[in-house]
Amino acid sequence: MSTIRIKKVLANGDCALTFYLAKSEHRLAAIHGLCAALRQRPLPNMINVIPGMADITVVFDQVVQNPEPSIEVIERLLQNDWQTCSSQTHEIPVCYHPELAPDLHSVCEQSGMEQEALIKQHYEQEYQVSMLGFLPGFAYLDGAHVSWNIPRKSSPRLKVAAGSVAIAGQQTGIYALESPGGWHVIGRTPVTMIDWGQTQPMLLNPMDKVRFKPIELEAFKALCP
Amino acid sequence: MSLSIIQAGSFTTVQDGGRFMQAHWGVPVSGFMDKVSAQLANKMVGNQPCQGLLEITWTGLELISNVACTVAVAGAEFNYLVNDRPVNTDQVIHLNQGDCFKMGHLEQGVRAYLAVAGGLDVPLIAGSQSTLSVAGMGGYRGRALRAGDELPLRKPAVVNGISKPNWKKIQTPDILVVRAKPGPEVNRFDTATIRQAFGQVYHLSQDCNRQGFRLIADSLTHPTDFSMKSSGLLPGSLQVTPDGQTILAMADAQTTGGYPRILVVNQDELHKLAQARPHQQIYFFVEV
Repeated sequence: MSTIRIKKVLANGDCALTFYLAKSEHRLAAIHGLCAALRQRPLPNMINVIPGMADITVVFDQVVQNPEPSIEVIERLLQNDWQTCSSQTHEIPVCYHPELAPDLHSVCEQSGMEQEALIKQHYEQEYQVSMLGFLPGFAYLDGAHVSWNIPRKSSPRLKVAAGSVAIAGQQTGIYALESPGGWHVIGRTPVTMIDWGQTQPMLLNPMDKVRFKPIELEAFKALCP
Repeated sequence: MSLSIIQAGSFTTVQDGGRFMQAHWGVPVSGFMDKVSAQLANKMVGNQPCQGLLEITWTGLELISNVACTVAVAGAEFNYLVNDRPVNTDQVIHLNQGDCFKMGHLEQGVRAYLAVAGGLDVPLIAGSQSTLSVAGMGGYRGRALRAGDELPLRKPAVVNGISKPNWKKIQTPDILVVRAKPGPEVNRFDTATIRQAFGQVYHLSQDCNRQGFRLIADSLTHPTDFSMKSSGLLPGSLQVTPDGQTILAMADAQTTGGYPRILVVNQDELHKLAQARPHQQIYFFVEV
């Protein structure tokens, strides 16, 4: 496996350090592997660790006087201890029926794509969960064969249903919770994405693989909990 | 063993010390906006400093205690009444079963903290009792309190408690000075913009909640050809949006952000901002 290098370390306020990793094929895997390692064995006085898309932020409960000891530990972890996180593959049923896809029509108008072509392209490829963010459990998915590129809505919708599958830029997102949102909703999954009663509350975790399986409206309704 | 909520106030939520080590799931830290006042209220009634309590924003609540218990308030200064009689909040307040505790006019600040000896009996979600209302998560049923709610108490107790130190009053200076450090993307801005950002006075807008505060000031020149990958966002980060305006991230802010951060407020200064009202002037004293 190629080595992962720290490109630079910056203070992120007085109590946190952000470690930027040099670009490489395995950077994202290293970020999530490193985060998992740090959650298991936190640095002294560490209270939080935040994975970014190209960096990791470590938050302490006190002012960082000397970053060197933390840098040494992170460098050592990057040399040996970060394993590729155990990545699962999920098949997620999605209903693209207009009743559950309020933005499908406008997305097609905007992008010039036919509805069927867009839907087909959307479910015929595999995605990787690059991060969870914006709100708890909101999954950012990247696919290798994406031809849409659509700016976010100029004014966000105040209420997006839980399970909504939406696109923006070249990404796909899944709303785990009902919330406001600015992405274009093109379908919905009946699957429960978050269950706080479980030790692993999130169905999707960073670096997991996702495939969508199209389902009809009847099937969607039958699968709803 | 509960508190019956008669009037909930405009935004009253359960908060504790915060929800940590959950950022990989996109979970913000949440927790007390004014940590100093919240911890003081907890200490007055003998609770752990980071125990869950009520954060009461802008308008006060009215409740009836169904059990004898000791409570304490700190933070924003309201007029407080027990069974319609004014009470001194420099001391803890003993409520008998059936007593009505009512908050009247807001005198100073924005957020008050009401701690009950023995704590609140709401579940820990991802390790914390804090409410993240935008996600319907934590606290009392994932939301702000409403009239008619029965807020369960864990181990309500009558305790001697300790009194509030004299100095702990909310101050509202003409200009609120908060210490800060240059932000991670400071070098993406030109020198004149940095000088402007660190030198000018900002006004707090009406748009200020637990997620973030929009500030008003002369617009800053956004870096040209700017792009950055989503990066860990701390409460207190001053983010510059493409139109040159600024948003200060607060306790419920999303875990990562993509706007350049020109400065980040020192973490032990954040509590001051929690008591600032719209139009408050804010100056960031940036220690380079």
